[in-house]
Amino acid sequence: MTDKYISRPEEIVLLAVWKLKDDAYGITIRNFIQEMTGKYWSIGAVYVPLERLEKKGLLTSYYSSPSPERGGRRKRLFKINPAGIKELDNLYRINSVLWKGYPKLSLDEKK
Amino acid sequence: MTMTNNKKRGNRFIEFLLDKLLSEKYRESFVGDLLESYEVRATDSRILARMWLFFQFLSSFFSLLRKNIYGSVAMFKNYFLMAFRNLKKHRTYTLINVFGLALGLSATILILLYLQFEISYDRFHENADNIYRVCIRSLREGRTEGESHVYTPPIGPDMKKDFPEVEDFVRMSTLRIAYLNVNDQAFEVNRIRYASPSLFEVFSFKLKSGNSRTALVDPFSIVLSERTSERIFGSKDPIGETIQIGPQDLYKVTGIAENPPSNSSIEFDALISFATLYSQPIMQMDWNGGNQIITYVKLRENATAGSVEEKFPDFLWRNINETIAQYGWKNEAYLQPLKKIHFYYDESSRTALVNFYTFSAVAIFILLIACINFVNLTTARAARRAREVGIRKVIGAHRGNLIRQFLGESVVMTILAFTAGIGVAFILTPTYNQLLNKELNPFELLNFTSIFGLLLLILLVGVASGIHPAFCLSSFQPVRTLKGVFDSARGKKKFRNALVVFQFVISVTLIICTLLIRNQLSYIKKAELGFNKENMVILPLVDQDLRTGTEEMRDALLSIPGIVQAAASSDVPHNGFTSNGYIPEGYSHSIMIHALDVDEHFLETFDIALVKGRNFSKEFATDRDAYLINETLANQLGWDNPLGKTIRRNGDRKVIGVVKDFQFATLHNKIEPLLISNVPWRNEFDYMTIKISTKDIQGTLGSIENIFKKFSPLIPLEYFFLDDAFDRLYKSEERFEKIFKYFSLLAICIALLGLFSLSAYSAQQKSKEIGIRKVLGATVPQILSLFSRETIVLIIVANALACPVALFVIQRWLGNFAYRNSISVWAFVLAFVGSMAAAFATISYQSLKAALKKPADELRSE
Repeated sequence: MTDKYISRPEEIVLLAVWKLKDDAYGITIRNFIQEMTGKYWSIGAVYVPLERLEKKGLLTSYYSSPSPERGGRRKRLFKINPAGIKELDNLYRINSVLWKGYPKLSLDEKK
Repeated sequence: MTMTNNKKRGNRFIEFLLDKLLSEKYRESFVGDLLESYEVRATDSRILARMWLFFQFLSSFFSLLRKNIYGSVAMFKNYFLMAFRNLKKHRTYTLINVFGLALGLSATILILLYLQFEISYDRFHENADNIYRVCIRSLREGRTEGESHVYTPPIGPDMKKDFPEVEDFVRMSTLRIAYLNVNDQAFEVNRIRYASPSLFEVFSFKLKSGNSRTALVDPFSIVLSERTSERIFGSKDPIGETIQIGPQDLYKVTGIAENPPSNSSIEFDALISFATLYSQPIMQMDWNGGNQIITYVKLRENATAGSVEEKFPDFLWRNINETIAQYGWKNEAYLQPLKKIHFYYDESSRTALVNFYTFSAVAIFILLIACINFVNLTTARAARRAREVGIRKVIGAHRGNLIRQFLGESVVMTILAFTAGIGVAFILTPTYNQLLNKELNPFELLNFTSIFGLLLLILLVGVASGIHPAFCLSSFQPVRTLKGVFDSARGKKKFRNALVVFQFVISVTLIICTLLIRNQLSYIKKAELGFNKENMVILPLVDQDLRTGTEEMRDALLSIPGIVQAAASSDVPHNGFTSNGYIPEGYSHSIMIHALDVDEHFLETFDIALVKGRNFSKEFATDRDAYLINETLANQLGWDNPLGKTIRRNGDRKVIGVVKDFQFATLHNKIEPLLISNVPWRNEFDYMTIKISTKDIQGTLGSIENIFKKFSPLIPLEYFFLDDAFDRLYKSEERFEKIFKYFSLLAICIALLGLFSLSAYSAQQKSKEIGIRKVLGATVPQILSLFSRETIVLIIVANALACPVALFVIQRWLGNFAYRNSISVWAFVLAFVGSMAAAFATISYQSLKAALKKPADELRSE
């Protein structure tokens, strides 16, 4: 368990890994995030948070077997570990407390 | 599967690059991701996918660059900043260092300029790689008798006929001098050649006007060089004009050639069509004809000189060897590559090669001396910077950082020095050209290779001179330096001293060599030649009537009171005589003997003594068929009493006298056998030698001119003094000596500059010691001697080491001369005293300054 909060991109990536379960690797994570956030993420961009999360002990990574559509290269799959789950729980708690009572101001105004 | 394979191949390059660029960690996953996304995109459009991939690659590449390089760039910026600050802080030190290095570099640049010029000889010809000069070695009974690139006329055409490898050939004559008469005005043109029309095709000489294909085809066509054309015709277009050469031959100007570049071994002021030679009755143009033609062949692109040379024995047997074999003679031929002619095969190539090597060595040594200054000064100052290094290390600088910092500093210094050095070189080029008698253009160095070479040299000098300080300074232990326990390390001092000794070995060697070269040159000028060369006026005879009518002219000349004696001859002794084959009595074969034709007054005019027999005389009609020989020839033939013996060329002729040996060629060679006859070839003499008295030389010369005009109304008088002609013979040696002198002066200056700043440093270091000594009662002279003792020991050692080196070098150089002055001890003594005095003067400024300081000022603080 880290003392500091993890960053926003890390949070998003960690969530993505959790949601993707057994199929979390560079491309799927990126696609997932792009779909959810609607913003462009470069392929490399997901690796920096992934790397940090792994260093903080919230994720573990392992290699799949090589596949032909990847030019014979292996996938590096990520899996959330118990510490990661705990971190997500923590984040959810903090976030919901923080966001409580927040009206959708911008949407209201647009209407 | 093949599909994927193909696709994969298309991206292999990017894949490869990414693999190289990325760290191991990302290689597998990231590149895999990229390729997978690519495959997905490729199902829509291959090209777009490819572009996408490339864009991905680029963006990742740049961000990688930014991240990796930025840090080091910042570091570099800091190094340079630190370097500049350091240099600014110690202005004198920087100035001396940069100035010394700049001097050394400008000398090196100037020498490089010369070396580049020498290397560039004959390389401007487009076909230079395929052009060869045919050369002949003649052997008699298996022994080489002579080697020459001048041979018979038909060898070129016959080679083209018989050898498929030979694409084309160019024939040309050796250089001649002639007077070109245009509109009753005569112009002396020094370098005239007969040349075949193919000259402009095989070589890259260009015609400025005229048709290069036909200019040299017709007999009696002449092509002038731009320079000659300007001299004779001014700005007028000379094409189609008529030029008269000799008594009756008229030539038509068919072209103007660009002046041959100064780095061409083939020189000319005018070219006459080769066909002209065939219409001159005295020329023998077949295989056993005169050997006076130079033949160049151009081989086909894929042919080698070896394959041609293999066929030479058979070829020569058919054409010539079969006929001459009965006399025991045999000719062998070989090919000389055009590009090598300047250095290996030309008349002057021996000096060219020696000069080339000498100057390369001098360039390297001067640069070395300048670099040593740099190293010495930097290590000497190391102590002062020890603290800086200590602090840097404590703050966290790695050794690598420090090394880079110091190297950076020296590179900055080198760049400064280079800029200054190039400037100096540019300024000095005109003087240098005058010295060398060349037309070197410093802008020629502004090509890609040279600039690249210069940059490389900057880096090399910067790193080489900075490498020792860099490693030595960075190895200081911070704790010790910060505590102030920094010992200037005896070992380092020894190293410094060794370098100083090395510098002085080089400069002293150069000085000794200069002195000895001078010595030899003055010896040569004063050498006993066996004849009188003072007050001798030589008139070259050009006018046809003059050449045959020397008798009348001589009588007229002798009526002038200032003229002591006069004689006509076929040549004057200074640059060697031609030689012919003669068969002396008792010999079955001919031997080569130098020949000179003179009138009866020659011996008296030149003060040449007779050893035996008598001179030619008008009283004996048979003297026209007689010979005089020199002592060397008599000795060589083993004739104790040569009088009355016969020598055969065109009929037997009797020897009537023996003259004392006199030197008729340069002193590079020993006196060679000589044979003097009374009858000139075609009854024409080439020179009139006039011995004048020393009184009123101008008046005498004026009277000579008046008489000359009477006999030769068309061609103006030209004359020279024999002693001047002799001095000119050693021009190239004198030039060599001069350049050597300047460069050795430069070398010692740079070395002294280094010594100066070293002494400044050590004066500073010893200031406390001097203060204490003075307090205890030392006198100024005592302190001075304490100071200079060490330096003087170094100079003595340097001199001791330099002597054998100089001796070795100078003996090599003297090997060029048959007559050498003994190596004078004075040169060594002079160099020793000179270097000692210079070194002492250099250090005494600093040591005096230190010795005269008040001890209180030095000892007050701390």
